[in-house]
Amino acid sequence: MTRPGTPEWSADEAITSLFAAHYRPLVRLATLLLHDRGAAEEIVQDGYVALHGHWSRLRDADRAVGYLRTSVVNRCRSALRHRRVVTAYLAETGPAADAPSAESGALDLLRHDAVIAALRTLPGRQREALVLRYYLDLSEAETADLMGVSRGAVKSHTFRGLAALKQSLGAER
Amino acid sequence: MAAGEEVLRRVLAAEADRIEPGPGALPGIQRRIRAGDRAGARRWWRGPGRALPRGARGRWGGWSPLAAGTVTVATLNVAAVVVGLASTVVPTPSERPGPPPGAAGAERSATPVPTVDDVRPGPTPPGGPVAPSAGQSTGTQTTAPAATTAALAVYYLGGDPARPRLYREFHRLWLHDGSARDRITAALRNLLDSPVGMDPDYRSAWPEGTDLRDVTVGDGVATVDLAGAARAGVDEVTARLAVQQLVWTVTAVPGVSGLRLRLDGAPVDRLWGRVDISGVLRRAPAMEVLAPVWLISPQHGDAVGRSFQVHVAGILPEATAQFRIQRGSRTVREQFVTLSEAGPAQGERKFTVSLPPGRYTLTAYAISLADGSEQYLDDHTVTVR
Repeated sequence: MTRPGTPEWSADEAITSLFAAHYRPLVRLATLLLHDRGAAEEIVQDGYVALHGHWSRLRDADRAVGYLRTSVVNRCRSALRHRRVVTAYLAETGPAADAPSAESGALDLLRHDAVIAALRTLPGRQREALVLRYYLDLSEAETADLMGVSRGAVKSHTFRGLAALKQSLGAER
Repeated sequence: MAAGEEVLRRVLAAEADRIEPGPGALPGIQRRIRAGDRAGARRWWRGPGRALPRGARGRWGGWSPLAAGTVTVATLNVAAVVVGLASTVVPTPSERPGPPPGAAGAERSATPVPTVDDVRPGPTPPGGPVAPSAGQSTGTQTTAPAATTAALAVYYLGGDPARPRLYREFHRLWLHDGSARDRITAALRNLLDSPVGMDPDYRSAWPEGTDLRDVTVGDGVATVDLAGAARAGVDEVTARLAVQQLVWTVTAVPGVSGLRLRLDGAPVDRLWGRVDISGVLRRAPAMEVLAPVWLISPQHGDAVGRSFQVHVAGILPEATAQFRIQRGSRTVREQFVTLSEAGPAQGERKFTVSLPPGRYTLTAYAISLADGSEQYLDDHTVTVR
């Protein structure tokens, strides 16, 4: 995301513009990691508030998006560490029965739910790697950068995550 | 596994499509910024069973845990404010595109650029409030009580690490009601929020993790309550300047001339076992604590027009500072700057510089009368558009 001609945003302008462009995707990212939309929104909002405080040292939309993503991933990790979201949600039933989008309607809903449920049981790093690689479509290098680990670690988290999901991914075929 | 990867990609995309953020999050974010919230200082996910650290989340940091549902409710409450906010603050034309801060009076009335008295480099007389100067009434305070920003002075340590001195930056911060208490809270939160200023050469003397518990103002004296400050050790030189860093920042707010410091809610006589903080603390003489040369504007990281104003201040025996402009390693210009006053007073000088677009390093400094060496260098990197 390059934003030519806007490198001189004030912190307030930056928050407004970056909110418009990235709030929804970031909430989605956080929800995929956390499986709790309310908490996900809080975490993303924290990220924006923190970004405002750091704006003078970023001053650049590209770096700001990276900052927001890193902040969201880190905060989700902390939240998971401190609250047993995964177990709490496993005890509940599957995804809410709100209207599925066209695409999820086309997918086998059973398999969809199985994959999402399996994703929740993965160790945090594996889930992060999968979500960053396959939801955000980041490269291995970008994922490594964002997670603060080596490319090799990303490779291995991704591999193990996919292996663990293999059954649900391949089910119903 | 390629097929599996593709399935995962589609499942994640479909799952993401189901997730719609609640409405009105932006006003909530802006409100928190305005209130000086420090994101990340919260530990809301610890749940009710765990105490907040040190009870440190006072009224300013004590965000109640917002559950998903209450986010919307909170947002409704500020919705009315935000209409005004959107027009006043969001598209802040700030000082960047126009003339530099403190240039013409006309711009000042539109946006809360540093007020005249803030930009004035002269230290406010110790023990006395900032003298109001012409033009101040056109400045900061608007009729809208909420949702304004102002450029507030924040002091940092810089220069020779063995003999650091105070430098000042202006940070544009959210205000709530514009009161002295509000301004002090915003400035101190900003000071404590980061170990460095906008210029990474400027550092805060306060240990990371120091938190603002409360601020009250009465009779020209601000009472500031800090949490967690005493945990880390601070060396002798830094300790004294740390207190002055706080005093100068707090007393830069008009109407405030002294500081009473409390730690974790209680009055304390000594901080870090090194520095006396009993009673009302006042500004130490400028000669002793301020850096001898300040490049006031442009600030580090600023973008300026091709013709811009440079503002230099200094406490120098012969009222003569030096000014240098470099592009990369090449020196574009070098000149004397004669200040308005000689030390021990702090003199100043504003002058206009015109440069072709590019990135430049501007350095204000002094020549040692003893050996002719360059000293007290204050350099800022700026972009000329």
